[in-house]
Amino acid sequence: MTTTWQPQSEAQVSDCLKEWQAGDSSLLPCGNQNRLPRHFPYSAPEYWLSSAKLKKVLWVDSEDRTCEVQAGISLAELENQLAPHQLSLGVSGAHHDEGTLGGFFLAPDHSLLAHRFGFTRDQVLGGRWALADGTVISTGARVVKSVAGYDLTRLLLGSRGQLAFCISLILKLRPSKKLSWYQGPMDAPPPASPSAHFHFSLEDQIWFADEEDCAVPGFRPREEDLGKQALDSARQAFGKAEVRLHQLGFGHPSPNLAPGFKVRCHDLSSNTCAIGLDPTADLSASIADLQNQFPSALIVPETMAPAWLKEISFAMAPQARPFGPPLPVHG
Amino acid sequence: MSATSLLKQLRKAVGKKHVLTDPASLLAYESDALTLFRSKPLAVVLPHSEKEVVACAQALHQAQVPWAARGAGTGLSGGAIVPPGGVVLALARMNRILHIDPEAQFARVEPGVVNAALGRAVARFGLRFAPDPASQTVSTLGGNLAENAGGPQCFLHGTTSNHVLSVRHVLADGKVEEWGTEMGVSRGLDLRGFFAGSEGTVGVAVAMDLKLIPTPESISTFLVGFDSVAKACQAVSAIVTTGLEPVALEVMDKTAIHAVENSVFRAGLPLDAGAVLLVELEGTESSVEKAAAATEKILKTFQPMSFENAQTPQARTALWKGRKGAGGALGRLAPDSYVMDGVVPRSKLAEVMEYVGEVQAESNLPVANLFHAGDGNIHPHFSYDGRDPKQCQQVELAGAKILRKCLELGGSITGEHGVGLEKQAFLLEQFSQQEIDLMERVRQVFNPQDLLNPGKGLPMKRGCAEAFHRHGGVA
Repeated sequence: MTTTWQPQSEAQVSDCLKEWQAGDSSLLPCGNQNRLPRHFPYSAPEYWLSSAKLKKVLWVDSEDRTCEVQAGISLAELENQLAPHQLSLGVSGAHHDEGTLGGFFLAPDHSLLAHRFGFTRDQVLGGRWALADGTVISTGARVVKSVAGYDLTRLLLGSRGQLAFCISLILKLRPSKKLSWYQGPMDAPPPASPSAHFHFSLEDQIWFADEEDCAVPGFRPREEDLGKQALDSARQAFGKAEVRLHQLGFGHPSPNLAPGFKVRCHDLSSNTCAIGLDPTADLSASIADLQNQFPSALIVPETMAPAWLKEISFAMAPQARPFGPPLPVHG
Repeated sequence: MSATSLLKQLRKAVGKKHVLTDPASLLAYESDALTLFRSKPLAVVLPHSEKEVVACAQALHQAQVPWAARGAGTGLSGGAIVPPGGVVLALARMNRILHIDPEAQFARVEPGVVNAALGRAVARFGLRFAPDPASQTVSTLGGNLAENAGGPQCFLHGTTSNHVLSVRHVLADGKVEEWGTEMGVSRGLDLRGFFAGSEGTVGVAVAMDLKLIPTPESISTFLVGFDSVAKACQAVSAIVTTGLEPVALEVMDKTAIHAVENSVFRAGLPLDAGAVLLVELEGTESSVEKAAAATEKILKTFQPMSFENAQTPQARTALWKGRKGAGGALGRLAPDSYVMDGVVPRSKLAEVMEYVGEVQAESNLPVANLFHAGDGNIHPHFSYDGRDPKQCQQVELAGAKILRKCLELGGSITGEHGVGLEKQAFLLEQFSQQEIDLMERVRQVFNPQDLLNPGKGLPMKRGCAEAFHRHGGVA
């Protein structure tokens, strides 16, 4: 039997963890749990500690372009709340509406806006975290630049909840911009505009949105609604991908794949493909096959536990039982 | 192991002429650019390859001798010196650019490559490396990574951490690790990001993949004179709140302006202004044109004393040479200079600058201010004479007051120079004891015996502090 705890305050998070530590069951932090099958396909813990009810925007400082937000808010809701300040996080993940911000950063997900805004983790300046023993700590600072002490935020962001429970994050924001949307055929030369928020190919069309009006040969301007629909479809395609393939210098448009694989969406700016596999085929054989086709690509099955996790996990809360159940380590 | 047999092993590892032990050669390695701290090493070793670094690390580990890596020694927090009896690994000979991939926009480099040298090498592909510390013509990329260096352009492009895709490094015991990939995709923990800014206490980088970004199609730089620093700060706030995204927003006060104009870095700054603001915009021609018009409109509402738009690359280069040479120019004012590196939320800039003025008046030491206004990162430069213990004490006291004010305003004790030996005492004012203990335990994961750059970045254990000679000053 699995129980999900949904604390509503920092103090409750700490209490839950202390209660868990007093027993002998396993516990793992989570968000809205919509990517669990991919991240934890083997055994579930007895308790989930969910951030689903921690969804407040704690403060927005429009002069400093920073904010602090609880981890359970969705990307879509955060963008809604930032809109009146003419600010934006500049992140667009596959689970934009139903996923949590904490989930997006902790089990790092692909952002279709990485072309314009860089690595999404760079937007996180710090946060509040509960360690396995219930201790609440802060990392980073509420200013855009700080090199005081170790940058523990970076370790925690990719830790899939195995090192700490994320209570809130301090984020660096960008001014929101009005975008112009464009659509073109697959054989159109890819636009290289530095102010483009994204360009991706979906089915047989290339889409991009730019902060500027630009006349790109082969592309035609589209209404904002159509563009947003395409962006939604691209997000969904990434959400449904069985594996993602990252490769430098793919070329254009989409890579040619052997039968049994299908490109659901190709993010042209980050050279990342969301790949659908033949549902009747064996997953690991398919991944091996894909790796043969693209030897220099990075194919990311989502269940990889990082090296050093165990050691750092022990350093985080040496007196406590670590978050679990433990993941098998794949290289 | 005795010192003699350690030196023998180090000589075997890198060749006899690349182990320096004579007092005259060691002198240059006694301190970094923060001369407040000095410590003479047992030896300086100049390895040429990863293999040599590994061999040195193994010998040092076996001998249980403290050691640290050093780039160009331009650090400003005492990070690259070792306690007496320790060994410095100077990586300046590892200065090869291993690979440039113009299509995928990254370069693989050794740690001793000078920041500006990478810039020159990739310019022909229409690319650049964005982090631009003022020391970039001298400082090395390994040092930039260890300190997570910033620079004027960080306002738009972010600090060094944001531009490092992967790092290959040697741990304290000689093991080699590679964190991150050239695609910048981290498979889990972002160890690459954690390495940036770890001040050489986690590992010694021997190679790294760095992200390159395209050179902008168009650049526009404004040089605006105001009657006061406060007014320049207000103009900065107005630009940022309007939603404009300049690449850099830099302020210099009157003392800094005069120091620059009286030096070889002369840039034609207005001598009668109380402060100048440098605003740089970049992008496509049309976007820069639009942003420049909007910026000009905002700036003019603050009644500037002078207003100049550097149209040519030559004019722009001169301006930046002035800004980046300002630190050097200030060296003319007194034998020693102490640079602070506090950060405040941008909205508190005017307040903190007023406080710097008060502290200056109390200490009666000359201060010049040049700062990354967009990031809220202040750099008061106090000039003093290190031979006078009273002045040393005054300058440290002034530094302490200013950093405490930054914390009080919700900021940080360091934005880009690092904690080093200098700011350890203040870490416990920014973080709780629990948070510091946690960092200490994480350090022990990678550097369990604290032999790799001991006593830096985190509060030192009791007794260690005396190992580093601090001239004058309060401990």
